Amino acid sequence: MNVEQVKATIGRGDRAADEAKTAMAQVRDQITEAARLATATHDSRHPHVERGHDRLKQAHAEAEAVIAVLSAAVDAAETYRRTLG
Amino acid sequence: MSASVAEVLAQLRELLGVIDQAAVTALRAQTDARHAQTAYQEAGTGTQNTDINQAIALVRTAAEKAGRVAHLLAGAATAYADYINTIAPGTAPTRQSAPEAMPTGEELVTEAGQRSSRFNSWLRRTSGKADDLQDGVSDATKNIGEGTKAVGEAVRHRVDPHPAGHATTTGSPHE
Repeated sequence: MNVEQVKATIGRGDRAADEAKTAMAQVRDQITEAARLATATHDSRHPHVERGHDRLKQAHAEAEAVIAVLSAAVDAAETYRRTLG
Repeated sequence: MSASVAEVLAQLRELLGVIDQAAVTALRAQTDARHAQTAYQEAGTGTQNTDINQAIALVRTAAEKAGRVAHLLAGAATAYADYINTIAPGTAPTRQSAPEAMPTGEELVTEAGQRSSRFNSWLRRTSGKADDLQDGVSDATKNIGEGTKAVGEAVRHRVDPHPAGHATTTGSPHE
């Protein structure tokens, strides 16, 4: 691969990472909506409901982490691309 | 009573639908992150550059975490399906595989579809009876199935602690 091909390949990686980030932002918003529906509808003291709330909360935190990690990945890849000129 | 049995069940159905959609989207994000990893690995072949190697490690982590999001969402859906089964037995299918097993994308989609179709058909079968229960709850001569009666009791238990009219603000967020 020549330098231009390497840069183009990094660009392809960036776009895929951005798509992953967009999808995960959608997931995060859907989890927020699910948590709202769950809280509004149900007896929060029931153990099954507590378990559901707990999984949603963990999933939300993990989705936020995915978005941050993807941003850091694109930043690192772009830093490398700039060193190529 | 501030919310009908059918309304509460519709909210539960909507909740499971949102969770299932989110799980499927999380798997799509995982696929995208893996594509990014492949591209960065191609671009980084033969270099010791720290930045591109960090980018590769980070998108790999993102893909793993996206899978964990899908797994947690499957766990949430299972928990709420278990809850639905306590108030309306047999309505929502429970997970067949071991609780800690990571579901494949195909399994998630299949389970979401099964849950949705079973819940919808149960709702169609019982919504008429549920309305009867709502209208004539003191009429002991009505022929109401035990399951529907249990739902009515469970729903009353949940609805009563809230002030009248509260449920109307939470009933249909998209309408």
